[in-house]
This record gives sequence, C-alpha cells and structure tokens, in this order.
Amino acid sequence: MMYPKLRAIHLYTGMFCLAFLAMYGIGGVQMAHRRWFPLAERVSEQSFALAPGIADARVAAHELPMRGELTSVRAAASGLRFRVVRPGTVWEVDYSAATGEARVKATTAGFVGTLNRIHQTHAWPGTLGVVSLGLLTMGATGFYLWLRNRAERWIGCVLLAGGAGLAGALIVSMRMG
Amino acid sequence: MRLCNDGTSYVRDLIQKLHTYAGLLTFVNLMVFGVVGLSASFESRPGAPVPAVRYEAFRAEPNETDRQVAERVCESLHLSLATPIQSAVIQHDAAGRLLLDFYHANGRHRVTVLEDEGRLRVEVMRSSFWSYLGTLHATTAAFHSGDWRMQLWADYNEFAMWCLIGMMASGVALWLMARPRDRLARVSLALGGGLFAVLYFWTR
Repeated sequence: MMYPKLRAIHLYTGMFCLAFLAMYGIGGVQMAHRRWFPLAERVSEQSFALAPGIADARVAAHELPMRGELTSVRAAASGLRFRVVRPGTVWEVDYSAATGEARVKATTAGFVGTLNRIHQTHAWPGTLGVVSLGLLTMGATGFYLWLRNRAERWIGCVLLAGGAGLAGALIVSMRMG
Repeated sequence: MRLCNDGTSYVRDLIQKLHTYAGLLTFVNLMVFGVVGLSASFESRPGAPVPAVRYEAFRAEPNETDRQVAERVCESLHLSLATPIQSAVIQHDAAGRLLLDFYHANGRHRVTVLEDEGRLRVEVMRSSFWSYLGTLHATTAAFHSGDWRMQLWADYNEFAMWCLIGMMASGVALWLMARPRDRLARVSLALGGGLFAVLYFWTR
C-alpha cells in the first residue's frame, strides 16, 4: 500500500521541482567551471536627462526607468555614482549634478548568468524553501523505495555505507578542526 | 515486438539502477544541498559572530618573511582548512603589525602578530553549523585546498553535483518510459515549470 503512494510522491515531487533543480544544478556547474562555461555578457550605454542638483542617490535612482537594488553609492566630485542591481543585470550610473545627465552602463548576463545570480543571491527564498523540502522528500522517499527493492539491497547498502561514511566522516572531521 | 519490449525493459532497468546507485552514493551530499537551501530560505542575515579572543606564545624568527610567519602561524593554530594561504590573508594593521586574516569553512581567525610581546592575539569567529554546511555545499573540484579532507570533499561534492544532474535526466527518462500518461506527473511538471517561468520573467 505504502510503496505505490511513496513512488507517486517521489515522481510528482521530482516533476514539480525539475525546472528549479535544473536551475540550481546548471548554475552550480557554471559557478564551479567558469572556464568551461564562460558567461556571455552584453554591455550597452544610454543617457538619461534628470533634474540637475540631485544629491540623494535614492532620488536619482527613482527617476530612472530601471528597477532593482540600489548598491555601491558614492558621492563623486561631479555628482553621484551608484549601481542598480537585478539578478542578471547591473546598471552603473554616473550622474552629473551640474547638468542632470545620468550616463548608464548596463551589463547584462545571459540566461545562464541570470540563473547563476538567482542561485547565489537566494532571490526566490520561498521557492528555494519549497524546492529544498522537495529534495529532502525525494531523498526520504527514494531511500524507502530502494529499501523495498530486495534485489538491490546489498549493493545499495555498500554504496550507501561507502558514500555516507566518507561524506559524514569528512563533515564531522573538518568541523572538529 | 517482444524483442522491442525486452529491450526497452532492459534499458529502463539499467537507468533505474543508475538512478538508484547515484542517489545512494551521494545521499549525504544531496541532503546537504537540501538542508542548506532550506536554511538559506529561512535565514535572516545573521550578524557577524562575536569573536572570542585569546593569546598564544609565538616568536617570529629573524629575517623571516611575512609569508613564512603566516605559514608558521597557520600551522601552529592548526588552520589547515585555510590553506593555501592567499595573498589577501597577509595584511598590516595601522600600527604596522602583521595581521593575518584567515578565512575557512568553520569561520575566520584574525591573528595579530605581537612581535614585541612574543605572542599572538587570536580572534576566533566560529560560523554556525548551517553556515559551515553552506560553505561545504559550494565547494567543488574547482576549489583547491591545502587540506586533504577538504580536497576530498570538494572532489566528492563535484561528483554529487553531476550525479544530481544525471538523476534529473534519468528521472525524466524513467517517467517517460514507465508512466508517460500519468496525469498528475504532467500537472506537477507544468506547475513547476510554469512557476519557474513566471518567477524568471518577473525577476528579469
């Protein structure tokens, strides 16, 4: 009775989490092997006319059309410099208080670059929690499904003991110092 | 027809075996990925841990370079997880004293070499267990450590990362071979994929 239910949960959880796990998996591989998978970044520049004399980066950022997190605010001699960041895109703004001109340099990462940033910045915390719970659920149900499969029990025991023993020993040993 | 079915069944059994073996072999790593993701989704940007300060006897030898001192300090404090010592570790404070800022999986050791006093001032900031696991989950073969345990973990974790990708592919293959018409599976896939697409375009 239990077996078909848990097999169904294993399958449905996997299907639901597939796109997100693929994102985390591909993002992880890209971060680990940047030389194999270099990010294709595009750079473009644009100018915007704002009111002159703005001394607050928050006000200047609000006047610009891009939306994201305001970071790296610096008061320059001529005005303001700051960044507006969204996963996959960074806008570097150089605002002149004298003329009101805001020169904006946009650096846009491609699809994989965006996935990479979402992975690193935990941009979707609620979804990250659900997918992580899904991964743990798949681990638990997968463990049960294997346990019920008598033909695979011995070889599975060897693999599990070897893998878990090695990983567990390393985790504990390094934490101890 | 029978041959074809037998062939499909053989391939399906083989894929199922590989799927199961990969999961068992990397079970702990996959659970670490899950636990780290779960803790990251609940974390509330904890402040830096309060440092514990202690002093230890240490004498710098005449004509020793800063790097040689750093290597001896690292060894005497058993900070193999902080090796190899990067250039950024070796600094000097405002008074010109050698300041060694060791980052490692368990946190940070900030060491000031008090040459006049013949001792070290050691500030220890130990990270939480969740933060420790967070560092481990991101450590792959591209990372080169002077500690053989960390290097072994990095290689094993790399293997686990590829296994996870392989398990996704084999899981989809098993679904398509065994239960392609399962309606709830299709609905789950559509829901997850749809949510992903919506979040991606909303984020962009």
